Amino acid sequence: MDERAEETLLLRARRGDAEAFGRLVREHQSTLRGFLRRLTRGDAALSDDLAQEAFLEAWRKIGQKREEGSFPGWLCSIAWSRFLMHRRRRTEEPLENANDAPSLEPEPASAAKLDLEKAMARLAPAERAALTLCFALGYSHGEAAQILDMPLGTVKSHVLRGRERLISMLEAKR
Amino acid sequence: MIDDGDLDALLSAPLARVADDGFSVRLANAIARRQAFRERALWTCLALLACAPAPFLPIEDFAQAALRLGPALSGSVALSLAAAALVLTITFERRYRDWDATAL
Repeated sequence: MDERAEETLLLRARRGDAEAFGRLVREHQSTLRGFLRRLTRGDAALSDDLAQEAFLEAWRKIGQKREEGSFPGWLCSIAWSRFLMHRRRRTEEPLENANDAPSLEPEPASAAKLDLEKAMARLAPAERAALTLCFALGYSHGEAAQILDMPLGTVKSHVLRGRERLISMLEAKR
Repeated sequence: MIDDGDLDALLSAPLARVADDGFSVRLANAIARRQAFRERALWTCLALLACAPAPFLPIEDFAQAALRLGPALSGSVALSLAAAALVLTITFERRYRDWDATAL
């Protein structure tokens, strides 16, 4: 979908057009659910619940969305805060390393990609989020800082530390 | 030995595509349910507010006034024109909304 069509859909959604919002959902559901699957270490049911909550919140607050910043970026920031709220409620995942086995869904992927997903699942959530936003989703560090509501320096250090830990985990595996 | 380039390439691979599998439809249903609930709640509140003063109103006086004014109003040209303008406005607004919805 080109930028102009998305702008038009956003305008219509702001005026309360649920059909336009539905088209935006269809366009961005894969990205948001993929991002949340990374955050939840492959828990498809939980990530879908969080994605639904995030989209419902986006629908409720679409009138408050600022002009600057992309729609998918805004969705990711809502999803991130939903994920943090969920973690605060459950407090099941340690803040730093998660050494239990990730519940990654079986999917056709190269061995290297599978190793990466497993190593990713052992990173702290903020590191996972920062790496996913800056690499897989192509956001700049500044945009990622806005999405995660963190200072730029913190995002940069999450990316740096995350990369170092990934390298050491992937090397240990070889 | 994994180097920075290998890791960057792995990290930069796009996330695996997640099939919709009815997610959008379930979400649309959830939005419709919430909207319907909010509308019902709003109309219920408005109806309750509108009905609240009813016991204190002089209903009989209103009925008599309506009977007195009814014949005069039904023959009024100004009132007929106002009603026609209202019908035209509503029709135009609906047509415009339908056109706007199919414009994309």
